[in-house]
Amino acid sequence: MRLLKLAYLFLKNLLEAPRGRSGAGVRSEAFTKRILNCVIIGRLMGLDRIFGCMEAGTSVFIGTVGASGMPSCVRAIGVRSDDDLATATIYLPMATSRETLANLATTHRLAVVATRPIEHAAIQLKGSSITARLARDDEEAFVRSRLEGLADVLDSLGVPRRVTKSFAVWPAFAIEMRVEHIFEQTPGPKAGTCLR
Amino acid sequence: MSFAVQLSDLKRCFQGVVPSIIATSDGSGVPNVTYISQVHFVDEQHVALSCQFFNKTRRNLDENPLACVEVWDPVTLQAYRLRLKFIRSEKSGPLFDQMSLRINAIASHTGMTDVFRLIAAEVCHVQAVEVVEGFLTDLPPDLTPTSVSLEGMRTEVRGLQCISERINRACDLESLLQVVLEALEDYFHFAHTSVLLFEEATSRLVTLASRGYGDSGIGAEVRLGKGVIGTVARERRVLRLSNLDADLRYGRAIRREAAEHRGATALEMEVPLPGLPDAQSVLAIPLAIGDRLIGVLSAEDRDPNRFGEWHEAYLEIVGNQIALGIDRILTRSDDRDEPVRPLPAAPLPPASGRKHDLAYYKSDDAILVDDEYLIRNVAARILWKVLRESKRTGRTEFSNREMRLDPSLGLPPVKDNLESRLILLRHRLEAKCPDVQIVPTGRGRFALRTNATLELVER
Repeated sequence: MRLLKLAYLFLKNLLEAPRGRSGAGVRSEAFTKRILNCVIIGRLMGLDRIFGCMEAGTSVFIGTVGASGMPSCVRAIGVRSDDDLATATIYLPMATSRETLANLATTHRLAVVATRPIEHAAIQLKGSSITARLARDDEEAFVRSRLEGLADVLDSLGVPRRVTKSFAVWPAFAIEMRVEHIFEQTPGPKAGTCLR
Repeated sequence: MSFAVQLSDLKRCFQGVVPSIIATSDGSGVPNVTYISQVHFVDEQHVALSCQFFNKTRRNLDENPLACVEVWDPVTLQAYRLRLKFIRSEKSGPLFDQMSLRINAIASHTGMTDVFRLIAAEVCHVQAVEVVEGFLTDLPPDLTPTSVSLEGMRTEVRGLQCISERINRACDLESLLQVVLEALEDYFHFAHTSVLLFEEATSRLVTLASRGYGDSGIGAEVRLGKGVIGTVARERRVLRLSNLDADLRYGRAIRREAAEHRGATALEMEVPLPGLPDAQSVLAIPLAIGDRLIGVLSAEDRDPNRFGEWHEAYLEIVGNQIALGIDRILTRSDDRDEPVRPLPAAPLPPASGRKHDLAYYKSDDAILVDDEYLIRNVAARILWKVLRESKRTGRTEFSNREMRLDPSLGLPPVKDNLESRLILLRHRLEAKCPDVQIVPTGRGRFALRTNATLELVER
């Protein structure tokens, strides 16, 4: 399974390497960088795990810190990355976003923990915000599917679906972040290990 | 300082049913966010956080003592935010002991005693408590904390009075345990309960009575310090676990990580939890007199919110009554020939020429009946003595006194728990070989009844 995923990422990288840029050198450099990215992450952690923590059914939280040094945390509703975690987009319900956005406007630093509640497998992304924008209409389906996924998982753990589905999720902000580090966050002796 | 929401109003949030999350930041303003296994209510101004693995959080608190914890009400899922300032770490003392008990029990249950443990209780001042506005689209029900109404209090005081009365009236150990478990169901609706008694010689707890389980489980053993019940016995402290399944999954996640980290062979075997296979909450109460452990009373339920804080306090009182009652029965002289209400024995199946092979294995100190395990240790030696004596002389009546005087049985000179061993023996025979019965016939006396042919072999 892991090998298949790795092969898939190789192909994906090959097809998605920068287009519209001139020069085979740029294309080759970007390609190599992305492949190395995959290999390093894959070796260190296992692709199943790192990407599994970003699939539907994960529980996501954002941590930020204000100018006064007071940290803040809030539940987000989904995270996705189209470039193998060089950057990531985190969807944050507008209803609970005020403090997080204010913190990001002043300090730009954020931490995102994504957990698979059944196994407690978790990763933490750390980096800085690039932009915070209103999520587009074409992103609503993704956001709602993430809530559905979480409701399914929590339902299997005894939290009724109707309770989870009462979480406010839309409208939402999309926070785009540059991922500088990925940490192992699964509780245990390896928690806190820097994976990238 | 007072808050719009009192910290004590959020006690349900601190039961650990929904894991809490903490955000901290280091000296240069880089945030960190992670789960915490325990946020412990200390008083209206303070909470303590469990420090197990979150080393980054620990370091961050040293660099920047401010932290934000988000907790959830397990019933409504309403979120609350606590603004905290770290004050101190406690690595011993009553607070540390109280917090580590729960972690130790889960650790032991998942075979993680040396890995999954409390390093410190991080005591924090609560600077603010906020309702996370807009978190839910529907308003949660009123946040009235689960409390005991006046009417409830009367019922419970009455319940305590009745339990106490029943304990005092019990004339033998078996009826005492039976009435206690019945009363817990009658007055508290605790449908799945068991009592285990401590055997000092083997450092084990043996199940002597249970209620609400398909299989009575009598005779099931727990080593001191192992699992939830063993930990409660060793620490002599009440333990209430909510959402046991989540705790066990958390423990197993650590176990899996540790196994990958250092090899599975270094870990202990997981102790199977006696009782409901899908229990979500457990309340275990040590039965002790002073420092002397008598046993453990355990209650389980499938509802993760079944046992509240008041149950804990209330059942501690009941536990003391039970411990005193058991001790009274176990320590009294039962060698007097006083009439006693004999326990009704199950009618023997009609004789039909059945034959049973009973084998005593010396090296294991155990008896097998028809190649199936029956009993071991002192209870096995008692049964073997009775069977051989009956076979040799035809006697069927025996006294506790002669058991005590026989050094080959290995009963300790004081606190020999002979009565509890006979109860255990009686129940094991009922379950595994109903053609043989041990029947009480008076205070300190019992009889062997059988209508089958018994072949005795010593190996």
